[in-house]
Amino acid sequence: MLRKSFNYLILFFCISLCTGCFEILEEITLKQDGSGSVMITFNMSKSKSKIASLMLLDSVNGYKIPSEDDIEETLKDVQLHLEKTQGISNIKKTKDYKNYIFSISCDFKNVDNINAIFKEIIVKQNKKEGTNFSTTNFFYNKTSSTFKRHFKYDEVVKKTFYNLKSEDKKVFNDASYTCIYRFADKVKKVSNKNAKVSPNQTAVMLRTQVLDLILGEKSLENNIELIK
Amino acid sequence: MKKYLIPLAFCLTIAVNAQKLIHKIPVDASVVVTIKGDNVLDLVSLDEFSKSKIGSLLTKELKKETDEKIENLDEVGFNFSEDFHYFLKSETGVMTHCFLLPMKHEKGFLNIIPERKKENIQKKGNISYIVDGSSGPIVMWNNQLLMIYVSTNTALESEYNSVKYDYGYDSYNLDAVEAVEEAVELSYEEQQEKYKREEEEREQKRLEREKKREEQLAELNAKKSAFKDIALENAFSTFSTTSATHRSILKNPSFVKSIGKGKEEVSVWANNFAKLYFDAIGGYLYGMAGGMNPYDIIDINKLYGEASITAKLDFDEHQATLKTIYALNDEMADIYRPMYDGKFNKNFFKYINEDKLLGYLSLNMSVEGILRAYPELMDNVFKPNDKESITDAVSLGVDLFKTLIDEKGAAEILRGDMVLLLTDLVQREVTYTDYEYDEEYNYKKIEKAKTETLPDFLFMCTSNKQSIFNKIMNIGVREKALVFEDGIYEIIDKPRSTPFSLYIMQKDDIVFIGSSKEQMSAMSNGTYVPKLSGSLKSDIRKNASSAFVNGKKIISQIPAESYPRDLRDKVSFLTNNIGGMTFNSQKMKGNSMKSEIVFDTQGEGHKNSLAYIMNIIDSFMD
Repeated sequence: MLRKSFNYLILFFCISLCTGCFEILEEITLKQDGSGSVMITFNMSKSKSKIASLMLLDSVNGYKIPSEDDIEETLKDVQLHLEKTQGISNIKKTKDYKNYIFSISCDFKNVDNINAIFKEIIVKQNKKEGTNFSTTNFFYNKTSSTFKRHFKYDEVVKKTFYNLKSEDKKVFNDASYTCIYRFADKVKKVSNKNAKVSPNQTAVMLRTQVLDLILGEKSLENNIELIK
Repeated sequence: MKKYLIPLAFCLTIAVNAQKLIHKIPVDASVVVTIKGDNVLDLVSLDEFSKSKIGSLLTKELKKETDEKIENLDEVGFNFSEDFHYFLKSETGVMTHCFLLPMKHEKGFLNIIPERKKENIQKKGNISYIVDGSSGPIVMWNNQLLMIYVSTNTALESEYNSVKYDYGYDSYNLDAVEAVEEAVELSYEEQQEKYKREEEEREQKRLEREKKREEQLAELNAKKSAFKDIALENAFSTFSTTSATHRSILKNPSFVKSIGKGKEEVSVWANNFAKLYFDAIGGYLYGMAGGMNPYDIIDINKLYGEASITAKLDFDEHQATLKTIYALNDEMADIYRPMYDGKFNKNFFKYINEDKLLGYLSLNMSVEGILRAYPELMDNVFKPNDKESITDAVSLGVDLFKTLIDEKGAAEILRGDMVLLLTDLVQREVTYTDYEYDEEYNYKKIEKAKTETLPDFLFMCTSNKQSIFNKIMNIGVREKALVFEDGIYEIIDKPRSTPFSLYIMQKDDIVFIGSSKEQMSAMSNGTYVPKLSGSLKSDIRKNASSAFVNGKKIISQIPAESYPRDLRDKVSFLTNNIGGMTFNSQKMKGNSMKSEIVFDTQGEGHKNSLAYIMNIIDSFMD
């Protein structure tokens, strides 16, 4: 009894007092022939005290808290999924349980291969939640030297968010989503006004708050024209 | 209609003249709940409640639902100056719930009843009543009393449902397979003929089954109707009972003993849990075989027979108190008593400073007593059973346990007295990984720091085996799980998920585990300054379990920005109004275990603890 009470008492304070936020990093390096590499990083380091406390529990607010084994299993599943996806090679994953930073990267033969990675998940999500997300989010036209990052907003996301308990909504308060795209050619122009082009014109960065994406106030949609 | 009556009765309660309605509660009731109207009214008047936000909300809903026939809570017609009661009576397979709500007049209640339901009102003398279907409640009233009477025959309901929703096994598929196998030798016409014949047979069987089911349902409906008639008769009897004609609950010695001075606002009494278990669940479980029925192996009578619980909620000027008394039967009390016969290590007090204390949880049990009682308990709970081998397995386990465990030796390692202290909330610098981007948006990981509020705690338990502690620590140091410095061990190989440092040491027959090195060092070198009031010392030392939470101090130490945004503007209100909470559970005395939770409700502008709760609710309804 005491052990349980002890756990709950300490956890109560840790969970209540520690702030929570996370960052998602989407990086794509594209070669002229349309091949390249992609890396997705999930950085929860800023919330590590809270996550560490949460992971002592089985579930919070009715949501199951994944254990290290669960995370390992998920990363393994992702790797298997990538291995099965056509055109994908050189799969690497990194995990840092001390800081709670996880990333997975791979090379692709053409941009369509990236779409194929997420297609299955998006189709399942659309079917399950009645959303209408696009399954083609990345597009590269060699002839016109144009790279497109599609982002189709769905009002269902906002509705789902508003249905969350206020405690659960807080998870997204300081969360950010960063896209970095690097090119072999120089960037001529970008369509998203929030995107920044590097001084050497070979990289584009777009940083948004996840909450803005959820509420439909900002978008990841970006049409990047490269100099031929 | 019912949705207003029960909340109204139990939320708004107010009343006097306790003796009247209680006579209607039968001597063999298993549970009795009483809300003492007069005591509640002394604390908060109906007018004050009506003006509160929750009262206004309730009034608004009532007005809306009654097409403004009822303008305020008083017009509902309850006599708030009498006691409100609920009782539960259990007989094998029959559970009866009854609410007794005193009335000033029936006019207000008639306004609550929807028009369509008014057609169902029946009369018997000066008593009006509505019988809501064969399984619903009986609502009975006159100008003095409103009674809601719900009697359920669980066995009958269970049987009825199993017949109603069981459409029987149709052997169509099996028959069809056989038909196909035999049909190989038959011509097409013969097959058709055979199939038709079998179809007719099946239909005949189905009709027979359906007829039988209809007959069973008719029979069960008749039984239900007869049961409802009896329930109605019993309801009339309860409604009309007066003290002169009835053996009331006031003749029940256990209940009478629980009454005490009667100063509380709410009291709950429950008697003989074993009977309640059997009567409530028995109806569903009778006849279950194959180990499905737990009563086959667990002796509920021994475990809960004659056990009773009394709870009293008392609102005073500056505190709200919930007192409970749990009484066991003689046999169980004899088993449990040694568990609570713990000795307390007074050295704990040398390491507690009340000024820094945010909360504590103490346990004063006897490990030796627990280890002796545990096999006894198992032996008693699992009754001998020829059909189930589990009882033999338990008996074997108990014998092995008794043989292998040295109770005295185990108690030397962990005696059973322990305290967990929440000593501080400290701002600690925590590092995290962020990214720094160059001009080409290449990034590198950088370490940044931020401050977080984390708890400091100290756990102490008595252990007389210094040698075992030393051996474990030595192994830990050799295995590089611990580091030893200045008489204190630091756990370095701790789970990654532990957000604070952990230190261990032993002194004065106490094992310490804490998160603050400064505190541990002070305790180790004898410079720690203890301070503890006599009352807290007494709470920790004398009780089997005790807890204290200093709400005001905790709230004031949490930085405002750590609160959720919607709570931030309430922090000052909370700091001024949230007091402490104390919980004490006494050691067993005779057959009883008493416990008490006290909420300190001192704050600005609250005339008493009930008003305090109302004001807190009001402030959060803004």
